[in-house]
Amino acid sequence: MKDLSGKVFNKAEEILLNDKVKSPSMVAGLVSSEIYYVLSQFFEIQRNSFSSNIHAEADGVLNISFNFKANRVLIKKQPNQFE
Amino acid sequence: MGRKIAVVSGKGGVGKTTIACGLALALAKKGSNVCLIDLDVGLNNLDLLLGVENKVVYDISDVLKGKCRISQALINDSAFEGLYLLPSARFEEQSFDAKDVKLLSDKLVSMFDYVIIDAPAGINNNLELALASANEVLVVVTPHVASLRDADKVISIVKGKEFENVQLVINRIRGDMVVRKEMLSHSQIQKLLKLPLLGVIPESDDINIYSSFKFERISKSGSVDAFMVLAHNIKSDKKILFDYTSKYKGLLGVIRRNLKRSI
Repeated sequence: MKDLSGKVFNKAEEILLNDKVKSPSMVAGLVSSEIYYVLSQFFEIQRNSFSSNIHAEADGVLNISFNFKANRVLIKKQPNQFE
Repeated sequence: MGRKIAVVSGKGGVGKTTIACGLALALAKKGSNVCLIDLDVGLNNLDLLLGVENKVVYDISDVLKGKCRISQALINDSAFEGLYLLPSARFEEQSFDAKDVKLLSDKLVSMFDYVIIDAPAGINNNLELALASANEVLVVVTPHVASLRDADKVISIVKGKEFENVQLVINRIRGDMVVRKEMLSHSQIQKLLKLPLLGVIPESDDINIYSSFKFERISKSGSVDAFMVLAHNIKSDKKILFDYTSKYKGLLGVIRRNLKRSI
């Protein structure tokens, strides 16, 4: 007996996984600019070092990471409440 | 307080309306008061399935526009005292306000044990309306890749909202093909979509034959039992599965499988 349902299952799994990876890639692109803005308040981020990566694991869980290099931590002067 | 359940799918033709109708009939048969809302605007068929198409005078748009009272638009299924239909707008392209539809469903849920909302196919404003008026969702799929793919997209939308319950119903599954491993089984589908499975409805010739399908007409079909199990699961919050493969197992099952294939 040929296990056709197993083949269909594998195909369906692949299609659903591909669809899942495509949409968060778009979302990650949008989110990364927001994250870049927030991080740039605290770090001097090296030019062109900021990247986002989406990795789909075998069980369908998405591993999303943002990566950047910073030259220094930006220490901002806190407003003095007595001033 | 009753429960508001939206029946959604994503892909058209998977049997949303049939599931909504069959579930409503089964719940009514078990003694519950049920209101079916047809939100498949312009492509409404619930009235036809219930066999009340000639009784439609007012529809949901008339209620929302204040042209009639809710009680004037509700149509009773003569076979079941506790089953009512709020028909959809028939011709025109309607754009309802989600708040108005939600208010309407809130009024209905105070009058009935269950409000079952038949959502349209696709991802559009009317799907949003159906989701806005419900607090539970049934996602209907068939064991086909296209249906699963579309359902997965709808599940993404549904999961982005706060629902008490999001559950799966598999429709048109064929026990003979599952036993022969030619069709996805319920457990494979559940594994793909990662949702709790509320019920399975096997493919039925009777449902295909009777366009105006009522329980008394298809009383000998296995689908009736499957709908009764589905209604029981809804009422009791259980997950008992109708065994759609049992008659295709064993010696008699082999004969049935081969006969079905040769036809």
